Amino acid sequence: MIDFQIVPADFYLLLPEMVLSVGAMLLLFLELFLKGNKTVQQWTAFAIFVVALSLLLSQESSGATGFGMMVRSDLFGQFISAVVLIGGGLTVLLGKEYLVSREWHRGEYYSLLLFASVGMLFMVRGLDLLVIFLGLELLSISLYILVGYFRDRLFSNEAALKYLLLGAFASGFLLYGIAYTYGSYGTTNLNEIRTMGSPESMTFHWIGLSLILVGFSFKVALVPFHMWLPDVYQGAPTPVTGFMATTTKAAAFAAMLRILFYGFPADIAEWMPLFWFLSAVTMTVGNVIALQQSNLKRMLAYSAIAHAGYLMIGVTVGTETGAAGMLFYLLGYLFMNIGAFAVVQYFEGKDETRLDFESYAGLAKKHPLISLAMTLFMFALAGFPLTVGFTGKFYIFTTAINQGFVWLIVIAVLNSLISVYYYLRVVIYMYMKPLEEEIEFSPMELPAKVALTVCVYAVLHLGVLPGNFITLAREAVSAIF
Amino acid sequence: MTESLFFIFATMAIVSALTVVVTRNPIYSAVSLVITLFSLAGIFLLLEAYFLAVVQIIIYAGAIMVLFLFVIMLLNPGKEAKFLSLTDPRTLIVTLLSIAFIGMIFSLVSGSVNYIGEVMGSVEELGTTRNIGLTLFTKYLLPFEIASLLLLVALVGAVLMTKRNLR
Amino acid sequence: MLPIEYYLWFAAALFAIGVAGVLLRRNVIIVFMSIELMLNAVNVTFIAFSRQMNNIDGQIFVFFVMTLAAAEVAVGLAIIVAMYRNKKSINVQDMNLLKW
Repeated sequence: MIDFQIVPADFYLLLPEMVLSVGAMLLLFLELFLKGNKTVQQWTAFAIFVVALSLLLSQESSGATGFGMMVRSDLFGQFISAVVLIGGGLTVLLGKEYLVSREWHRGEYYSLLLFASVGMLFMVRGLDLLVIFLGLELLSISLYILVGYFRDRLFSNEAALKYLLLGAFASGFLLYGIAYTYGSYGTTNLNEIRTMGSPESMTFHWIGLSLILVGFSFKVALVPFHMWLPDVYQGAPTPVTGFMATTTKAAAFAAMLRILFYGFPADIAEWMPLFWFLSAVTMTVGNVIALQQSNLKRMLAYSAIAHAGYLMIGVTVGTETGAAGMLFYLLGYLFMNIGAFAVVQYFEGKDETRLDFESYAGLAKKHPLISLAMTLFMFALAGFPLTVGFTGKFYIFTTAINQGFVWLIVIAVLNSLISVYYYLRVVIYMYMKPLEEEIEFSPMELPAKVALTVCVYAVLHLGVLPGNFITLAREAVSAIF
Repeated sequence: MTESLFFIFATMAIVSALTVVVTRNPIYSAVSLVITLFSLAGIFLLLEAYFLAVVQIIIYAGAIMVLFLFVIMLLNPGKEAKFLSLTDPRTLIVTLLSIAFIGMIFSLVSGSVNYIGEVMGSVEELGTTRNIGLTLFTKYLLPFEIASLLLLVALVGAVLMTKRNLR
Repeated sequence: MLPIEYYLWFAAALFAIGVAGVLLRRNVIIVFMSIELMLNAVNVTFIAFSRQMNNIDGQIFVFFVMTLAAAEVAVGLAIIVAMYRNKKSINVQDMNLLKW
């Protein structure tokens, strides 16, 4: 009575997700049998990310759907999934020392990172609102636990609880929106919604879409739905913050793009004024508050809000090139932000006291290479030429100007200028101020060095030779238009 | 018959939901929530979602609420020091916004009657276990598997957060 | 039979009560229960639409929302227990290490 078949090709489509989830369970077992062997755990987790990434990249991106149109394998999904998996791999490489020095190195940490990545892959490859939603929740629940990972620290507890309460609150809105969308189309499948074109009931469609947007605004932290983000970023273990700030942002924006552009292409133009407003307010508020921060993690958190504002320009523009700019910027943002958090994590010391600007005074003399890397990441975040921060912003801004959004870009450029002040403050402290106290940092281990080098290289490469990747992003975006 | 049952269940659900939000003692809130959940199970039955009505009672009113009560008893949080007061501007604003939200949905939904007519006549087998099972394990097989991962993560997380002597 | 508007109105009222609870109450456990109210309002909406269109998909969605609620509550209460061990308080207003 129900004509439905599952063929091996369906499973082939999901190989990356399957490898990741089986790997996550394997790590839970390894924790039982290999309690002390931290290196094996770290490299296993890294290998799983690499295998999943290579499987993902080896797939054809023909737009084939699987499991009765639940997932779709296209270049768009592949691009963002690759961003997520690279971010996960880098986080695995960077996290070990941090956890070992706090005596909290456990296999569950890696396992949860893998589960979070599975969730993100489903978010960006899902074609049904149900799959996107379940992926989002798998991601969120893994992250609630990762944020509260240092369970004997009050900071971590409070951050996790805040994240969970506001995350669940946002999920409520998102679900209510999905319910009304279901009510107006009779299905939750984006493909069917797209082919249907116009809803059965316009009212329900509007209620549904606006509630879905409220839900996603919470998840990507657009002003006025941003208040959870600084606290969560500050309270979470620093490697987790780096992971959240980059991969989660990419996945949430990608899911939002797929829902809006693929599912409801007719609505983009109508909602433009709202996107315009959200974008302008988000970047301004993020940058202005970031100016007043003395804690580096909080400063980077507000900078993340500001960047969500820049990315919203791509949605406001609503064309293929705008979305391609977002994709490219998300790729670049991955490297500059994970790199910045890696340096913060290295310098912050055991008890998280060294997070203010003063503790960075004079560090350049003792740690010239790491300080140089930090300088590069700060320049990239501020958008200096020769870094990916510049090419990414340049691409998004020029696209917007070509479409006539001059005032929005004026605001964005002014914001970028403001942001230079607080990014350069870190550099000034490192290079211009005298060293205040002698502190010995244990030398960075090889995996972390490798990861940091990769970030530096990628920031420069994407900044100088962005051509191939911009072409790739444009091809990727054409899959959802 | 259905009308009166709906109004009985709906009134019970709304009143006890309000009680959840306005009582001071967490235990009273939890018990009121159980009443809301039971009334909702009744409403599910009226909408012929038989399987979900049963699941609502077993999972929500059973498992989830027991978890809530267990934690309340374990932590014994007592009453809040600062409680809702009508003079607090925050309370007023939130209440007004909620009423505005209800009013908005009310007016919007009523405006689209041309689409929503009467609920269709009885469709005996819509929400039966058989139907749910057939759909769940064919069309919705993949989400079902994702849900299993979700529960596994929750399990790992709960152990990681609360098990003693973990280090 | 009743028109479906009645069910949607009812769900909207329940949802708004839940939202008000989240925004007003300071006790974390009660905030949690308010979120459960919101999710239940969503479930009523789904089932009403499902009945209206004689389409089972909405009911399947409800099934997954319940799964999610169970997972969220389990993790949330575990975090609350962990925090209580460190702090002996579960009121939002006492959470002052980070600015609320």
